[in-house]
Amino acid sequence: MKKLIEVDNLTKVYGKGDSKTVVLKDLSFDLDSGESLCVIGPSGSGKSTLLHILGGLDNPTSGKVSINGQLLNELNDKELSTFRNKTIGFVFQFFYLQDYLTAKENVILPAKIASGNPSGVEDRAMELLRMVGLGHRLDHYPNEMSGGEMQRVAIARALINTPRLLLADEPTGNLDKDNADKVIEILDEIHERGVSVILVTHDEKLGKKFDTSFHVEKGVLVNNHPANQAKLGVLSNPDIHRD
Amino acid sequence: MPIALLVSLIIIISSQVVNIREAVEISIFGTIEEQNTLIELQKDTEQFSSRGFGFNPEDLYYTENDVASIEVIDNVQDTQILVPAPIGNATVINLFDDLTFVVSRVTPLNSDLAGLYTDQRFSYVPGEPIPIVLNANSFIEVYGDWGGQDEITITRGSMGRGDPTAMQNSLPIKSRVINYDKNELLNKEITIKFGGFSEVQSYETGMTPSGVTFKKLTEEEVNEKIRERKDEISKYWDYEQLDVPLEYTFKVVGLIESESNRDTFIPQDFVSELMQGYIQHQIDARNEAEISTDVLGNTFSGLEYDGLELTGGGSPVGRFGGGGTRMMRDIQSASYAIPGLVIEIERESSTEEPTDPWGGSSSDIIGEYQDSSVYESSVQNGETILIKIEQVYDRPQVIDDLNKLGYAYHDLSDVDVFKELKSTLDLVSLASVVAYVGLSIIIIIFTMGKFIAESKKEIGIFRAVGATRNDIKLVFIVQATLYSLIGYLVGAGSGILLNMVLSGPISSWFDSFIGKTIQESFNVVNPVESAIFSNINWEALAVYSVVLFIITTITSIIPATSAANVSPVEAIRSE
Repeated sequence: MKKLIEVDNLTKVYGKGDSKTVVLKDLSFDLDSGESLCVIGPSGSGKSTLLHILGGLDNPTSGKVSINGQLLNELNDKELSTFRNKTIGFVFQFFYLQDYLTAKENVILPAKIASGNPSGVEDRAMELLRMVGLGHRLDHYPNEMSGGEMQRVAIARALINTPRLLLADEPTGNLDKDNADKVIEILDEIHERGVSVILVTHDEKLGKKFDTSFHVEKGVLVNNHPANQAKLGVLSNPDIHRD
Repeated sequence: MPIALLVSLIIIISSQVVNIREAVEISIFGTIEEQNTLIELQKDTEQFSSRGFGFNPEDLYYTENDVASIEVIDNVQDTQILVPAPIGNATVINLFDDLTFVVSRVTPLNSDLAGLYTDQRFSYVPGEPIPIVLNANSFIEVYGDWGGQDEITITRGSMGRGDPTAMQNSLPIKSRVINYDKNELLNKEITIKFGGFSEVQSYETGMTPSGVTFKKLTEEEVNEKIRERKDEISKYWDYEQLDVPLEYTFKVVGLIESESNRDTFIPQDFVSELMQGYIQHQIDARNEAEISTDVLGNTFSGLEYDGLELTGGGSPVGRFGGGGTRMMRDIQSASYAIPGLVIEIERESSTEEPTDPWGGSSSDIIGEYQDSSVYESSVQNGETILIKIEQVYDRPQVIDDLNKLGYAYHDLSDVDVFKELKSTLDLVSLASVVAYVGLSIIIIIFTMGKFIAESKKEIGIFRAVGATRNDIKLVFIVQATLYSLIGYLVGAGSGILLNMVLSGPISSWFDSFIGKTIQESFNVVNPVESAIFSNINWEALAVYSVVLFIITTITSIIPATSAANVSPVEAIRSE
């Protein structure tokens, strides 16, 4: 089967000279279409950076990232924007909804960016909001919702253009347990529908719900972590230092 | 909000700059220019003294021939010789409470030229108070100050040298100015008496080897003088009847405050009635007794008529020669000035060698002249011609033509100054508006930049869900333009409203400013309608609107482009 994601020797370095910071170091892995992956690591381990690069929001310093057979570094800004709009769905820790748009309008936003005023998008938005349990909050603004509700709106927004890959960066980081469970439940359901999901978290327990999980510390996969003894070929490099 | 404030302020500032500029043009420049449409030609009497004997009396005065010569000069609108009416003892009795003062030069003025001294009607309407432009130089109070003494001698030494003030302080008869408030005088109705006998002098003077002596007369001595006068005059006139002055009611419509101008102006269409009444009053009091020429020459004095000109009046006004020598006799001998008396004289030809050591031509008394219309038929010659020109910028040309015609006039005013002042004012007005526009641009740039900077998170979200850089730019440019449009409409509405509200206070301030400055210096100030301050400078608003939208669009592109180029990750992390 064609790999959905192929990452080869991915390295990300910020700064130069004495202030250089290696966030990711020679990271390599791949993911099949329809599979889910959980990347677990403490704060500052580079897991969010990995997600940003996979989502085309950031560029690697070196290495290759291929999504659905397309090398991301070969795309220009417009192509990358289209990639983010149609192939990827992003869910952030802090929701990042537009305060001046209703729940329905927030969900429709990526679709409007894609094609102006597409027909049927409103129906789809309402369906997605119902799916995440917010069919009764279509015309409410973010400041009228709880954290859990806002995150569910964000998930619905991420799905409006039927992406192949959903990237979730600490989606439960700002939620209480009940809301966190609801969100994970929704992500699980999305995965069941065939969307590949990559979730980054510091919560060890979440990893068990995913097809694959691996740990990252200081920018590298921890080679000797029991959880990384997976069928995915992973590389490790013990020579990492965060300056 | 900043846009609304800027638009509101530009409407107010640009409109009021123009409105005040226009008001200044009308009231200050217009007034000054109006005053500079007047040229006052005066005969240079020093020519007389430099020529010594053998002068031509006509050189001392302007005649109707001069008026005819000057009137044909291009851009001369009106011309009049100023000839004080030969009327004596004009006393104002109720301008300053109990104080009275004498007006020495009552001069007729036509209504056209009167516009330079008053903005009110200046013509005679029977039954109504007669308009008069008073002269502040007349506001003099004469009083006695004998210092408790009955006799004062001014020595020759103090007269010939030393401090003239000290000598003046020694005189028993002093004068002082009467203080006044111009605003209280204007439009006041006053009474002026013409004629009647003046008070008998209550002192006598005499020349002594040491100097001049002033001796106070006793009450009995004064009464004796009054009796003497009455006895002498009663031989030929009804004394009581003649002692009654003519009274007229005037309305003060202007006030001259000038060191060089000493005239008090009355309407030209009134002076004939005044003179006729003045002379007829004397004729009516005259009895049947015949007055010999000796008596006329020695005992009584009055106006003199040589068949052409009516002069005199018992005051220092008059020509040297006939009236002058008689005036000196008035002071030193028992000569009585009869109000309204006209003495017909015959003058020797002015081309002959003058025999009078004081210059001029000598004259012989023919007798009384009994025609009360003599003033209307006499020529009006005078030392001053008033010339009104069409507009101030014609002044250099008119003066040049006057000089070419032989009327020497050295123009000390500089009309080019007005042009420069106006240009400077225009420049300052433009500079202030331009500076404001420049400031607006800076404020808009900062406002837009801040607006974009605060939208970083928003930009990050858009980028994360697939918006391109161009999408970001377009969204923010449109958003910025929309905010500007709303701000503009709000600002325009409030600016127009505020401009109207502020027009009242600004008008009041301007009137007060003019009252404290220009109105203190000029007789007539061009009025400014208060409505002028509610005008809106639509042209400036239109230009500013275009500039504003261009600037808003441009200044939103730069930060929008900058924002669009920020890494989406950085934008998101700016939360």
